Amino acid sequence: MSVCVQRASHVVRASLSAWILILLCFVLLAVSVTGAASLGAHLVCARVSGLTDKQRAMCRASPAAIAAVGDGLRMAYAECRAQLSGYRWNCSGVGNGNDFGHVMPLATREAAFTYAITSAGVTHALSTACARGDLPACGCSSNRRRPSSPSEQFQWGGCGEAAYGARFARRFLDSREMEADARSLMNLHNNRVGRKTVKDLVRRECKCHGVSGSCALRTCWRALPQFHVVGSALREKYQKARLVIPHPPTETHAPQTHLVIRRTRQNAGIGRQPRKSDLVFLEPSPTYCEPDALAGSFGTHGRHCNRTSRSEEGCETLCCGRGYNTVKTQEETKCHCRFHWCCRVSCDKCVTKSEIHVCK
Amino acid sequence: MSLVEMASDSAMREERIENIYKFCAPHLIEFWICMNQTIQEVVSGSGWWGRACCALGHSAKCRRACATASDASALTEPCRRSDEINFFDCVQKQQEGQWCCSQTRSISCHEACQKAVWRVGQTRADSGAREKAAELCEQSPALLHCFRDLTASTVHTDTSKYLPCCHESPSQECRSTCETVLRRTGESQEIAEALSQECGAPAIHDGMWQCFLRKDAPPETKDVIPHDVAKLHCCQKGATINCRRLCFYTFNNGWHLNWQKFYSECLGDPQETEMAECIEEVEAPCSLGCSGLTYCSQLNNRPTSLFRSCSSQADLDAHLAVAEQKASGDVTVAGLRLPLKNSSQCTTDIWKSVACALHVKPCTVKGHSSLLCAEECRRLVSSCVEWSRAPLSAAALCARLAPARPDAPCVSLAEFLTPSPEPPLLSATEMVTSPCAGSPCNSSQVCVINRSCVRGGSCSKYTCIDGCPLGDGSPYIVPVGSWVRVPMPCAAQKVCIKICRCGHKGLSDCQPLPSVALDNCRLHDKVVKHGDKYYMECNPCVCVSGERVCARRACGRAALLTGLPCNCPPHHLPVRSPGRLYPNACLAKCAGATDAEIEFGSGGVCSGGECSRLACLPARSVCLSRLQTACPQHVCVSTTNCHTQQPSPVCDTDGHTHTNPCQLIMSGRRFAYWGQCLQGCSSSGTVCGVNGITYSSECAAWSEYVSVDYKGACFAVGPISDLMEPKCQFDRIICPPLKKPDCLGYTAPGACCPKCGGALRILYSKKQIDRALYGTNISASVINLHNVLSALDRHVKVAECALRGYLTIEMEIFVTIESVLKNPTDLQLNVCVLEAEKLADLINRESALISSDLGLSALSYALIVHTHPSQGAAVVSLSLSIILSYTVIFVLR
Repeated sequence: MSVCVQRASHVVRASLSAWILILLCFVLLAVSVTGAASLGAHLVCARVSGLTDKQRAMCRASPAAIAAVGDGLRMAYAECRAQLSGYRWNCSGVGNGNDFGHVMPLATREAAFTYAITSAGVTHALSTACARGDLPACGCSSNRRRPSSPSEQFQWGGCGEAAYGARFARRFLDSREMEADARSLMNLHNNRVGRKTVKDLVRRECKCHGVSGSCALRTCWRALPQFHVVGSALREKYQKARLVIPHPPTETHAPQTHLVIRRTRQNAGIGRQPRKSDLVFLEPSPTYCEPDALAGSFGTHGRHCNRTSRSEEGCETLCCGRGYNTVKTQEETKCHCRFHWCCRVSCDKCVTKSEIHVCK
Repeated sequence: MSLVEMASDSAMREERIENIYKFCAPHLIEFWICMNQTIQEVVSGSGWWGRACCALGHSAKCRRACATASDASALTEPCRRSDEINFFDCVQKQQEGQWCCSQTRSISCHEACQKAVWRVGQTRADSGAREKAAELCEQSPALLHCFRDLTASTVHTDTSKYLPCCHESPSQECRSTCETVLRRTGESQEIAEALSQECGAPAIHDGMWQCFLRKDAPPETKDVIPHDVAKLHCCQKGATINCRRLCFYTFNNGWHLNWQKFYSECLGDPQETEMAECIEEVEAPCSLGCSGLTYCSQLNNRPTSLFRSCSSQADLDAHLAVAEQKASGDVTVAGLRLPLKNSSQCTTDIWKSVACALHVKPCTVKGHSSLLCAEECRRLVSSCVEWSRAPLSAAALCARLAPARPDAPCVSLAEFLTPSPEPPLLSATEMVTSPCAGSPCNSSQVCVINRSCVRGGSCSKYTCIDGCPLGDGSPYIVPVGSWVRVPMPCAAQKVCIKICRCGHKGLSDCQPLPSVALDNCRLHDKVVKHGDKYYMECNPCVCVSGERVCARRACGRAALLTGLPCNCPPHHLPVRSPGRLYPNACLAKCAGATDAEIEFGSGGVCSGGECSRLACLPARSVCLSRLQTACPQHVCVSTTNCHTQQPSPVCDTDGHTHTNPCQLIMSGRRFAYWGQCLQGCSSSGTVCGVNGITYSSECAAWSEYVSVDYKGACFAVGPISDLMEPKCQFDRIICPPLKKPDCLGYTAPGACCPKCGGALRILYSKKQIDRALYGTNISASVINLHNVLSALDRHVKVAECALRGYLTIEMEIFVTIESVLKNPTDLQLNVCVLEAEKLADLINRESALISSDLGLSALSYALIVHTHPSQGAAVVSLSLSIILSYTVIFVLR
């Protein structure tokens, strides 16, 4: 560049050629600046739909962390389906498209669960990536806690703890909520519940050094929970989620609105604030029996159900009283295979009969 | 036809309305009234640029509002910004495009521009429209500028690194398109278009797109410290490739996921005993002697046996294990519960000794193994355990407790059944102590024995210095300033290492070493595997990744001539070549110095103007590689601001320690030697070191880890042999008497007098040192003899023994462990010999404790050379006559 400037000043007297040279210099400069950006950022960060400007900037700044966020989303969607597989609303449609961030049209308890499990998945995946050393920004060994009781050789933490993951997940996911309305408050609260669930389930794991299995001398560290443990903890919270209302009411446009638990009786006064570990929602759920795009319901037509069960997955509840069809299937498989020297395998044929019940 | 479609695309609208004319009869008046109203509403706002985005709205309310809106303000109420990010993104892009296109006055340019930016960022950019717009708008540079920003495309030179990402896609078409486009072009716009056509829109939760992101910022492996560096070195010792890999994952960064699998699958496997023992050694290295046990008291007072975990904790564990066995009738061994027989053969005493042996873990002298002897194990268990109720057989249990090979070293329980045969030590002067046993320092400090404080008094027996653990999960600490070798993931049959410095904040400043293939060595008639040891004539050798590291002693008759390398004469006429002193010019040339390098006289290194205006202090440094060019022999000391200078203790001739050389110079004292002032040595009287260098005092020699040969200035070079005998027959040389008449000992190569103690000849790999010095930018003084010896010294745990060593004229490192006491007992001498043998075993086994240190890792082969004093007079007289004849020749010249 300095050469360009020298050149430019040198030939400024020669009118036309100077302009061309200066232009060339600028073109070169532009290419050198933009060329430094990397292809992944151009292909993904700039083009994934559903990202806010702040999220795009974070994506360009730390692409590896965003890749881990993607892992977390995938894990969260799969866990959501696994946890709610027997319910009328079985997480269908969540994460189907290529857009970032699933939009739940109503502020229901299902929306609360979706936000929480997404936030938990992202936290979990980021912490795992951090512990593996995949993320350049997160340091592990710095906050080591070594000296402890004499029976323990030592203890370490830092990496396994979800601190870094939770921080990044908060910055990334919460930046989506741009309104200051009740729905945003609800989403932010449920995001926090998801992060907190992961952090609270971080447990101490120990390895015993005793020869005879005695655990007098041991090494301990802090380990992330398995994600399905987080999932089932969140499902419990889903069942106990609290109905809340904004206070003061949104019509007054007062600053510092917060959510309070709605009292069942009229004139019961202002409810208390929900606990930080409770999921909250603003509107009651629809029945999810019939397809309804406005309510985010796919209906339960064609869902498999369990005839004998009386709970959520039972045919009575799941099919909303419409009844069900029973399909009998026969499947032939190879079984009792034996190996004959050499080299032949002989198998028997086994027939498995099964009945599937499908909601009308 | 939906309202949104109608609103967002005018051409389609016209076409559809014509269709309606065709199919709908004119008499449907209500329909036509409604239709007219709708169309009017739609058309009234059709100039608004936001219409292109209507289809992106998530909620139906928002889409409908968009279709009839005529500006952006109508959207705030029905469209929730947080839910409609994509939609608002599009609206904003459209607005930018519109603003850009309004920069011109030419109508044709405006139209072309509008066409080009219509739905920019949403659909494929039409390159034809783009070119046309650029052509028509040549006159308006402002438009061109923002237009280029909007439709910008960047060129990437290196797209090949993204090629592996193509394979992440499940679709065949996508994979092939991806590969072709990445090979063909580097233009991001073109790549994006091709990919979104075949592979769908980008998503951050899709493997292929994630891979693109990951390739953008590959994890910086350079400064990532593994979970446990020392144990990572053990992984190479794995027998199966599966366990080697699992071991690497476990101790590199996948501890949480893999440790249970690794410990159950690999460490329980009898095949993997070598790896298991290596890991055990990192956790608790074997050290001499055990005392202070209350329950396993029969293991006390055994100063010559090695134990792995002689601690009160292990003692308590053994006690608990026996108590549990008494209570339940079951015994737990190696994680298995075994029911016991009620038999007279199996008394509690036997189980007590087994429990003690399994917990306190005696180790064998050779191989440092804690495994029990198979024969003994089988005899013991088969008679005592009720095998009918046990989950496995006696042989299977012993396979876990005993080594797999029958000739492998093992711990015999019989030795540890009865109290120690050694007489109890009564007086303090007969004691053997290891002050660092039981890790008295805190967990991020290294315990260093203060060897000059043997006689007690007010001094502390050890000092704790700051160090760094070798990784997050490592119990092993190295002191600040040392360099650590950290294994990195690598191709098979290769070793990839980075070296990291231990600073006050843990391991850092990592840099990779050139990777090395584990090649075999080719001899003239055979191939020797990497790590194998063999002989070349009379010289022991080892093959270290393709390099033959051999002793280079003359064999057969040639050895009898003068007993020195190159048959050099044994006279002492010191010469200096850069970085080293030699006893005479012949030996210097023999070691590879050229005539031009050799300077006569051992004169001071600070004689000339080396430091110009600064003060000069001699600081001898022995470099281990001939290629090492910078091997400074002096230190320049600035004499301003002494207090701000780095602490680096020095001792003056009056026996006072100064915190740094500046203080010494400013106080007007004379420099004696580097380091704290030593005790237990004489600080005056010239002595000759075994390395053939004259020192001002015994303490000065010791401060450089050099053992004293005899009093007075150096006078002769002794012929080299492994015999322990006086080698220079001169009246002027009066050898000090041996500390015990018939002790194990040595006569150091090139030295004259025999001494008591353990001795090792250590062969080292020069290539390995050169690789570290030339492959990286570390300072040459990182790997010098002093650092290697001080690192070795930390492995000597007995306070009464001191490590000394020097670089011999044969270019080997000669290390001796000698007693620091004036009148040691047989036991105290014996312990030092055992310490030497322990070091030799660590080096020859390539223990993780050795291979994790940069300097020590070059040590390849340790030969134990201490013997009993030899009485062979014939040899003495022969060499004597040779020496005499040479001196005659020398004098005649």
